[in-house]
Amino acid sequence: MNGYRMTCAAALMTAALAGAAAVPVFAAGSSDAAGDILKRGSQWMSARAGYAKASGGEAPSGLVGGGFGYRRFVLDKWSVGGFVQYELLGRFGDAAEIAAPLTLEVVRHGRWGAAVYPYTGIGAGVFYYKRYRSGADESGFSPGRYLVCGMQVPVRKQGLLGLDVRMARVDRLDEGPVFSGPNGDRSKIDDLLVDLNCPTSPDMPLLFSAMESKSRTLWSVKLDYTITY
Amino acid sequence: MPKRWMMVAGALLLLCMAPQAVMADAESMLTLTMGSHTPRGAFSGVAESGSMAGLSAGYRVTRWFATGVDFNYFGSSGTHNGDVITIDDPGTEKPPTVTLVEKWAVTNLGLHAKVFVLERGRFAPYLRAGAGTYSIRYSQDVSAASSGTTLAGVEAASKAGINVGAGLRCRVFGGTSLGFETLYHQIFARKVRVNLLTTGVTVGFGPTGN
Repeated sequence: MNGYRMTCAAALMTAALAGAAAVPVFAAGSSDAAGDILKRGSQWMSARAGYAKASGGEAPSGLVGGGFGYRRFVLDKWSVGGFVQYELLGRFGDAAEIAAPLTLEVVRHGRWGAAVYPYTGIGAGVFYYKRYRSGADESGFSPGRYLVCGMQVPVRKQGLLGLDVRMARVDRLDEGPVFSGPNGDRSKIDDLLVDLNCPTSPDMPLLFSAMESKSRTLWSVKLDYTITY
Repeated sequence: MPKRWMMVAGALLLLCMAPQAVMADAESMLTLTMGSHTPRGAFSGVAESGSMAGLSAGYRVTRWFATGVDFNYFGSSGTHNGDVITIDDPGTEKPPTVTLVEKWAVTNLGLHAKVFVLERGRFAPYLRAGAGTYSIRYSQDVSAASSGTTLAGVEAASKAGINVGAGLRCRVFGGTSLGFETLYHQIFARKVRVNLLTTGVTVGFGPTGN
């Protein structure tokens, strides 16, 4: 099911991009103007929606997410931006998990040929997370960082359509009645910082068979529409 | 006057006597930093001093102000690293005697701002402040054991943090510069203060050195 959904999402986005790539006829007359959108001082407003998923063997199937943001080019081809997104990472029955990243990012933009604008960058921010209808609901904030890349093509004057892919690294949540994860009763970093401050003894905190990762990756693949000015 | 203060005063005098630089704004630079870090606060009780490496990309907005992003890695061993203890291993019947391998690693991704002060000639002293995310990773393993053991594990968490410090950059030729930088990092853990004092040598590559 998950693979089917991914395939459908990828096909939809590929079709949209292919359609968008055919459109530059509209934008052909404004190619000079299109080059200016990467100049220092240019501003972009973006809205996006698409697929979102958390990594893990027993993570819920990926679902949808959306968001909006603003970029300003502080140098030619370099932008700094802020984004707010809301992602429904998946469901197990009635239980659901969401994430809402509030992030800042620095992105390097480029231009391929007449009208393809790829970009790549890094970002960091606060990730709000919430699990609800799980029998042990929880929510909170966690810092996170991410890599982002994508590609955009002009579809109308001052309008770009593209695909945004981001891979965020955040802390893995503890296991609950529905969702899997590391044991919540273990000694965490905050506990270890206190408890390891002691003479070496058999009673010091020791980790047994605890090699599983304590962080996870949040993936998102979204269609992006940007207005430049 | 103590010798060290005389040296500081001499360095400041040299800076003041050096000719005024003609440095342009709107310049970008990549900077590599290699050095060491020293745990402070409660962190000093669980981690030893270690090494650090960093990469930053900066942009000089005006003659006196620059900003950028940086990624840093701080690695060190734990204070119990190499200790030999007999443990109660839940996975084995006979208590093994093990030699602990204990490591801490902190990675930082953040933004920074620099204010250049008293810039003279090739020398550009600056004050710096930044903020970002810090990922703290702790691992335990064994290098030797008297019998089989299941002792091995990692724990990690992401935290927010800030850093402040100062540095000096000396333009060597063209856009290449050498310098040093010292920073004090405050990581916001829940129960204790986690601090790091880092000192490193910097090598910068850019149009003129910002």
